[in-house]
Amino acid sequence: MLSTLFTPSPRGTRLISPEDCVQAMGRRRTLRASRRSGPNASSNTFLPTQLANLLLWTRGDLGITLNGSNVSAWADQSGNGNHLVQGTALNQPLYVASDAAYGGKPSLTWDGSTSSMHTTGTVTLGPGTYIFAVKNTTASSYFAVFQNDSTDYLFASTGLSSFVSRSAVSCTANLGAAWGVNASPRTIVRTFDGTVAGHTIRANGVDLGATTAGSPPGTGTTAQTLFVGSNHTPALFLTGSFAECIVYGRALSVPELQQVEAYIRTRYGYY
Amino acid sequence: MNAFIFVAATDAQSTQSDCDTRLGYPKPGVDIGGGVHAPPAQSSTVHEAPVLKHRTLTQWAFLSTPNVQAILPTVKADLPAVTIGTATALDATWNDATPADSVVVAAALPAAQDITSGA
Repeated sequence: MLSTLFTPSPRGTRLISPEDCVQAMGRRRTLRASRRSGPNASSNTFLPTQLANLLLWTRGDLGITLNGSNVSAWADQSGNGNHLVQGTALNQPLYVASDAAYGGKPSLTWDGSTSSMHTTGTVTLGPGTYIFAVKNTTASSYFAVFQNDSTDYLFASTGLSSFVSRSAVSCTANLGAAWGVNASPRTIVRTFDGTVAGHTIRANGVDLGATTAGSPPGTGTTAQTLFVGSNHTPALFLTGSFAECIVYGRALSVPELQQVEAYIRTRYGYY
Repeated sequence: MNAFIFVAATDAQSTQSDCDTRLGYPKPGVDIGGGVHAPPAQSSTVHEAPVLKHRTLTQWAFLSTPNVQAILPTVKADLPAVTIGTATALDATWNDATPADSVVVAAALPAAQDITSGA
């Protein structure tokens, strides 16, 4: 069954349903968990689909469409059809089938000059949580941004590290210079619950203590195209790679964040 | 990044379209891995290189690739009324220096040139 899951398939032929896939992965992790002991055993059975309000979930070993060695589509596994795509060859990230930085798991490489992916349609986000398994070596670059920069973004350098705006009311979470730069992959998380104080940035399970400012934008929503690894121009490109992108349409609680972070840590083992 | 600079959006678009046709776009992709895949209409590659609008000047850039360079003589023959100069390096004025600058770019981009629209 599992070998079937990861066998290249001809276009248009679905070997298994999304539900089968998720259940199979869950069974595999359950089996692994049953062979282990200790406090992290339960995290091995977790998948992002188990928490409510999942908007988008892409993972390097699932839903890849290649144009040569580049990626033209990275399909959303949440069931919402928010696929990440790039129809211009020059702007497509490179597929790496086995990336040692992610424990030998697949990743997608952004080149820092043209690579960018975006959702096929709009994603509605009010309060929300971005979670990335990402390596970024460029200070002036975006992890993610909605089409209009005046709504939402997560920026790797100093200043407005994270920005949220709804109906012209905005708030920010700010960190030091090049906070988002690291030679190795990290789990980067941004949460926003509608309040100024509820705007946090985490890395590898630790709240970075961002300085928040502005006015509370509230819990209104915006529906716009989501870009990954650049802004919407596109410009300010990320140099590095993504192995997984997860977006929820609500601010996860800390215990929930820890579940997702444990899942990523177990899967990739980079910290 | 090298690019061909145009002073008319239509010339940049015509050049892009002619290159894409000659290079065989749109091209379907190959699905790998498990899980759900994007439908072919969304996962195909439709362009070789993008057209960008300068954030302040009335200029458009069609980015150059080795594939574009290889077919350029035939493209020029196809488009005799379009002046396609030598590819030159885009300077920093073509790119956003700060997040705030991106708002200016968004306002300046004609809809047809906004390659981020998914069209």
